[in-house]
Amino acid sequence: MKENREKELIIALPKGRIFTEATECLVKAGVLSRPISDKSRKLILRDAKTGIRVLILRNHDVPIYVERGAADLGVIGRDVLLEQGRDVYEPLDMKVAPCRLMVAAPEGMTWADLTGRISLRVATKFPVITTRFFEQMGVQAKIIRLYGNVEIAPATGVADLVVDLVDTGGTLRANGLVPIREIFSATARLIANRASLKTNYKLVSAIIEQLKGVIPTAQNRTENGAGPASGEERA
Amino acid sequence: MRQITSLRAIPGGSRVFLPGEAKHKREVEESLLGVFEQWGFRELLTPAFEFYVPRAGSEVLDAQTYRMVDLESGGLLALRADMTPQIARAAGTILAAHPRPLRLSYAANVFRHAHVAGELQREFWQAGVELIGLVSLEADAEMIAIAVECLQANGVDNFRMSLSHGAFLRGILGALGLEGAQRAELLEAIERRDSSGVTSLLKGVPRQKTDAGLLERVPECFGGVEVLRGVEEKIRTPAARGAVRELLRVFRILELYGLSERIIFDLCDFKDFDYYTGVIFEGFVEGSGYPVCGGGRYDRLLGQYGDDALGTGFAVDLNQMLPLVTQGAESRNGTDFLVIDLTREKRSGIVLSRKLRARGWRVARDIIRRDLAGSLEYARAAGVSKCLVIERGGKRGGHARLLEPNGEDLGAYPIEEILARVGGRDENR
Repeated sequence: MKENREKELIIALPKGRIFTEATECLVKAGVLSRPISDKSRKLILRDAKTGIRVLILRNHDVPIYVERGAADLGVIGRDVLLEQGRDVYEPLDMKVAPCRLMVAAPEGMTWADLTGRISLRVATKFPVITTRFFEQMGVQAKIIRLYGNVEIAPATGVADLVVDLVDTGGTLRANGLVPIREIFSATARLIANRASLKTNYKLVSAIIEQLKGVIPTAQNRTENGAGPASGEERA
Repeated sequence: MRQITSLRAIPGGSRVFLPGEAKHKREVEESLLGVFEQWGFRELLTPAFEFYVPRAGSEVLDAQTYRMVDLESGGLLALRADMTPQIARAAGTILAAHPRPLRLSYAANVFRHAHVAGELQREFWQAGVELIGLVSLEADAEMIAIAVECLQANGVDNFRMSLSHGAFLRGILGALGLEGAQRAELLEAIERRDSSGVTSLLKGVPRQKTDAGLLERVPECFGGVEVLRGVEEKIRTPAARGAVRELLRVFRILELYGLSERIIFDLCDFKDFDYYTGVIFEGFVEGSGYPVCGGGRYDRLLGQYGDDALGTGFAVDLNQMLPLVTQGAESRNGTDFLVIDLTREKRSGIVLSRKLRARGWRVARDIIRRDLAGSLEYARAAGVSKCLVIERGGKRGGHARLLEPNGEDLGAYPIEEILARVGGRDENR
């Protein structure tokens, strides 16, 4: 098979912070010729100069579009990847949009207080990661899957603890919670469809090389207070 | 436990093939078995049941294996989860005295509790070959050439074969002394092509005089043959260097087959099954995340069945393959003629149908008692090409009226003339 020169790669991006920071990288790297906005009503945008198409998706939908080959590449948070466990390649740490997944408890409670309980209820939007984390700690916990604003679960008696992404910690504090354990901290990843990486390897590796030249370095990130650059805390 | 409330439900992960789909599947299977036969492979049928014996190195597959209590012995039985050990068992036992190399093929279903694209799948249809008793890179190359032909014979063209070697990563990890959880985590990061993950997992592993540095760059080692040449000079682990050299030699043979354009190398591929010891490969079609075929050399497996011989093989995954095969779609659609006999004795209809079938046509008789309008409605819904109506009190001497299912009248003719006009099905295709 000849490398298909007319092949136009499709990149799936989630609305929001990752979109802003990832498109910035893509423009700097020359993969996109001009900035684009996730406020567009059109959800498939084509860059006339580079021929790249961008799909604007919801956060949790990015991995499945890439896994199924509807998009060749995507950028997505490690939180979503770990939660969904999709069969995609993750060839590049984009070093943008850092996120930290933390266990948080009502003020004054320690990890030891909580794990000693017979029935520990944990509210989270990340049931898979949370289940795995507590299993690895050897702590039996009942996972309560919520869809948002998990911070109010302890105050309302729905759960004892929460597991959630923490940015500044402001929302936690405002609801009387403090982070007590880090599950992981990571930045967004470039993901690739398995067949696309193999059948369009020249185009895909060219994009990876271009992006490598512009991604922020690890040092910059630590100065920004985004947590340890090494990533996950080993459970 | 969820209660199965309906007798109508089918367990998730297995499926019905509807009439057109079933024909499609059988045609593709036959095409694949035909390719295998042309390369000298003969079909073997093996039982769906086997004794359940967990195998070291096959923990992943073992966890996916369905088991049940044997009503005869009280021990455990398994539904076959993989064809290769079944063929290897037959080769090492009942076929032990047959001359080597053995060339065996199969088309069968295997059962696994696995998730594909997040969906449970339990029944996998596969067609494949095993070439047993031949240690030669020639044999490894032949597997890849046959796999290419399997796809091309079914009109699939936008694919590449991705080659790797079982001894490459195993050799490097072994030389680094990595074991247990650390080895598993590293392999998982390599499988995801996660360079930064590999780097952080290799923290503290000595760099000097080892291949740790190379391992960090392995997630980027995919592409044309130049990838191998770049790696070959840098490897320090003898087993891994040997693996790369074998791949280079297989590539040279594949160049002779004229297949170099189809081949890429991806040294991160190591496959789930620990029994692969040599050259391994997978076929990827653009636009799908899962390999359509795959296989490789498994020199350790056969020893377990009392035969010291060596083998290589591959299988086409029909679940992935069938949606890619679009050729021959029109011929799968139903019936050529619906014979509607409105006479009392039905003799003419039976005779006409028999004569059409003898000419290769697919003919259904409308046996239900209903009016012509009802029969035509059925013909339209069932995708019948043409209707032949034998009218009550029509012309003597066996006339039939040719109708489009939409009711358009193409005229009434003597049956002999109709037969002469339509000819044989094969001449018409």
